[in-house]
Amino acid sequence: MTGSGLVRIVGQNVWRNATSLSISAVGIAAGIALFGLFLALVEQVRNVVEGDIVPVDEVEVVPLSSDLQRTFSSAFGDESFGLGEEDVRAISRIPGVVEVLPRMNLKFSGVSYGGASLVGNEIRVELIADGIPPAQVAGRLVDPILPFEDLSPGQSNRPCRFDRDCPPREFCEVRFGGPSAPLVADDDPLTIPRSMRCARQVPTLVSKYLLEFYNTIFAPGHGYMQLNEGLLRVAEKELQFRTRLGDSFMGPQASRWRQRSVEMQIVGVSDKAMDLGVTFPLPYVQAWNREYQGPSAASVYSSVSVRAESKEAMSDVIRLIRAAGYDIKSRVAEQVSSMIEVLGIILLLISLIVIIIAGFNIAHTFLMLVLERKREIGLFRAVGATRANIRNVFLAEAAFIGLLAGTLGLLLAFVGSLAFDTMLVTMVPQFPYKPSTFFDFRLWIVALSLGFAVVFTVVGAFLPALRAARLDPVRALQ
Amino acid sequence: MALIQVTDLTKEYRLSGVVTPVLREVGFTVAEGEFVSIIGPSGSGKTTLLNLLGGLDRDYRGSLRIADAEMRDLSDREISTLRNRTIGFIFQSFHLLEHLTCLENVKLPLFFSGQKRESNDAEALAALEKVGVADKAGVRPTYISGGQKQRVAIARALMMSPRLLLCDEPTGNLDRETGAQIVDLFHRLNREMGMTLLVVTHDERVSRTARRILRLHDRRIDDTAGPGAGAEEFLAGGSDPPSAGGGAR
Repeated sequence: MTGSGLVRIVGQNVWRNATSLSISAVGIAAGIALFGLFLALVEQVRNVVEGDIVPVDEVEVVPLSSDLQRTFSSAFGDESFGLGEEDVRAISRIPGVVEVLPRMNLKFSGVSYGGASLVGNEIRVELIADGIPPAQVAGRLVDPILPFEDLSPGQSNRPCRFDRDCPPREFCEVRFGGPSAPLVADDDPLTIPRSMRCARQVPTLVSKYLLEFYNTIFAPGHGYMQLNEGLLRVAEKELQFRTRLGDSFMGPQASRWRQRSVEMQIVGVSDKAMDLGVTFPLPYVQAWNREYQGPSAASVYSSVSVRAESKEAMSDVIRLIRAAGYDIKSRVAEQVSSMIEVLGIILLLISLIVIIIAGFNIAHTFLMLVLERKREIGLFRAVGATRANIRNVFLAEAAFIGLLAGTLGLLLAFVGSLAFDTMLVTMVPQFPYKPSTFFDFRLWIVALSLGFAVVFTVVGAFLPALRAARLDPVRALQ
Repeated sequence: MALIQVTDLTKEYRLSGVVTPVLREVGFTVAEGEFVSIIGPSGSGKTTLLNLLGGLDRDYRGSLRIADAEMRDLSDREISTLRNRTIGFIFQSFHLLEHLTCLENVKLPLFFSGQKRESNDAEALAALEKVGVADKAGVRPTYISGGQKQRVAIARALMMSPRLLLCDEPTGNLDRETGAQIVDLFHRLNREMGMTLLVVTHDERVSRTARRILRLHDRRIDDTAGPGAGAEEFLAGGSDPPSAGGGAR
């Protein structure tokens, strides 16, 4: 049978049975609309959750240790427990790893305060921070107030007593001389040599997560102004804060004679910054750790953030990292990913049930068509149609209906997504990471939906088509 | 050379364990270019024989060869090709598809021929021309008379230039004058194109126009010479058919 012959016969059949075929195609279209809508929803949830909230192509590598080992090293003040430069190089050589970012935690306490000009009251919080090599953020910040790098080499070091004695963007810093760590509570303040010099503000990064948390939970709760990345550049003064190094609300403090203040300036928002805390250029953290905890605290990294070339490559990368003798700090991402997977499967099952029911409807419609066209099938056989020709006519008709139903379903899904988006944007209050759209219609979703529509319609029509092909031509012609 | 060779052909229907014989050890041959009519009362097995000859029914005993091919041994593809290229069917109830135009109806066998012909429309139009209904090419069968419908059905059967035309009661649904025109058309095809015709009928007037008559009775067949009277005789009303004599079996 020629292709053009098949197209003509199918076209004529669809045209004359348009009503009954349209009715049975509505079910497939509805199923595909749900299928496409759910896939696009899950895809967008995955984008937001796995892309911004808990990136699944990133893990944090820590030294391999038992919980007992960690407890001991912490209890005995062993601050050399961590990853060295050699470890960072070894991890970066693991196949599938495209980026490694060594991180060094601030290994002593500090209290930060500031924000009075922004929110009216001074906010005081325990400082949680780490340091990362500034080169890995270089060029990624949009128009920062200060470059994110070690600014101390360029500072004036002018003697001072107050901040006003210093040039712009510098503050008057107390500097201690003499031996550094370990510092004990009974240090004699008179034996510690000190000087006061002008120093550059410390460039500081915050995470998108922290900004989102502030904007959606903290700011609305207290009636504070919301911030965005653009505002960060404008509200320069408002985003300065001071930190008293060595001070603490809750943990052990350094001797109050060794506590001192530094001034920080938030210079940008970065996905490299720690989630609930702030991130400084590594040289600052190294210097402060050395000052407050001794040289060993400044020699090793706390962890290494590893980015894999893709989400799919992550499980292999994790396996190789573990095989190389390291541990993975948290698999929250993995758990979240599994949860999204389960959610997606449940939603897809619902839509598949609709499509399967629609498939039965298609089967019924085609069975009726076979009975209706019995004499025609007999005639086709008499003029030279093979059984395969007859079967193919019905299957091609089903495929065409499936394609039409799939297209209609996708259109419905798209219109539905616009309606949902409008409803959710206007009716649901702001929440962390609330996206501008809840649906991401990728090309593969469109292709898969159309493919499913065609496959289910063809499967539904298969038995009737087979029955048509097996019709006895003599009986069919009677 | 024999186009049809039938030897000891037996056909039975089985229904709920009851065996009903229809044809018993029937045998005859039809040479290329013959015009043969098969006659017999209702229920004598005429249509069954025609279905067997056309390969629509292949459940039989004995031997049935068309164009030297044993029908039972052919695959579905082979028998379909034979029906498409070698055999043309003409039915009493025309079997035209009402949703297609006459031209599209005539082109149907081409769709299943596997041949891509650029001159499809021209060939179909020529077939309609041959049977005298070219002016109805773009009309749907609903809007033409019975005789015109049968002419369109004949054009469809001629589309692939078959060697054998199997006609099942071709004038059964037509008035006498129209029937005569159709019979005349058959004779013209036989005479001018050398086409072999097998016309099943229970109408003696139709069978009398053939040069050979196969008379079915008592599940057997008598092969007799026909008067070959032509359509004029049919139109005139004719007399009783000639008596049987000298059958193959």
